[in-house]
Amino acid sequence: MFSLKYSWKGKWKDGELSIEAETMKELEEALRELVESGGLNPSQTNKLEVVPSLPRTLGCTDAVKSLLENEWGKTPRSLNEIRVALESNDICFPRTVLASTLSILANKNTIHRIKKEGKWKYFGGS
Amino acid sequence: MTYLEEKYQKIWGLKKLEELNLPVPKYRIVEFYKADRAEIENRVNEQISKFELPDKKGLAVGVTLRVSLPGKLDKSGKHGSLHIMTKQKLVEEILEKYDEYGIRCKIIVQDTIDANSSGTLLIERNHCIIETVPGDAPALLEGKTNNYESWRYSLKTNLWKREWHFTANGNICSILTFSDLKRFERFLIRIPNNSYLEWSISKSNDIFFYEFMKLSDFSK
Repeated sequence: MFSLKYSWKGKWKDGELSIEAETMKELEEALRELVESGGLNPSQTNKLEVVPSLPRTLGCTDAVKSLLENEWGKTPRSLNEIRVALESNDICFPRTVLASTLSILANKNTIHRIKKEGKWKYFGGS
Repeated sequence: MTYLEEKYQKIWGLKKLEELNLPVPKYRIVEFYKADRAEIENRVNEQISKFELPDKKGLAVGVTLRVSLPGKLDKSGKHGSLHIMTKQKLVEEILEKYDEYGIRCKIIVQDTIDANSSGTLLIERNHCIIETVPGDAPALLEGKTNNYESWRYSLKTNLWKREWHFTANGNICSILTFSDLKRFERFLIRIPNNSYLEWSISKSNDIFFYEFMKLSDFSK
């Protein structure tokens, strides 16, 4: 099991701010403090979807498994959502590699998938 | 699903590529038997002494090691060095893999294509996607770059569309030529739907395939 961190990145004053925390609760608290201090617009955190941080050294299979085993991965996710989540960790698998990995992991029941609006969505959990 | 597919995906994939009559770089399989470490070393040395390492300029540069493992473990088998040029180094790396993965692993010793470009190919439903980088493939396969060229081919209209450009020094550069795409078209006829393949084009301009995976039907 990899140690996962939760991160948030967004506009902050004239620049950009990045926050990392060990748990979702810690991250939410940090964001709430920023909102209370007046530096952050609450709407920025409402739309926020926290993607877990992953080490860049992971291969595609491990990266996908780590992502979907996490809280984030309990909601069914499309290939594009998974791709964007990986890219936010500077992990850039091309579509061919990601699609084949998702298909193989789903076939082996390592991850699960359902079809929503004509598209496969993948999720973790047992 | 055959026994071999279930047990050793990478080896099954190579056999499947041969069955589809697709060009595959020369490969040999090294297997291990129950024996003490010294005996294993002797056997590996004996086997490797019979190998011919490639010295075809423009086609292959040394060999690489691929580790195939039973069932779900197969994906966890890590590559050896990409361009092994001497038998001594080859024996060393094979024994390292044996020490790491044990008696159940099978080692594929495969000629490494002297690649002009390398990439992936995915056929799903009515289209094929090809993604490619110049030279060897690891940067693309290991998710370490988003600088690659991507093509989509419609199996209905037989048209290619470039979806993503490769850039060098800020300029768009083409990796695959029209003639390369036409050659892929000829191979596509033989490849079943819902397949994933990896390939390289050598400096002598030959296309080779070295990975084949059967995927579940995307349309169901």
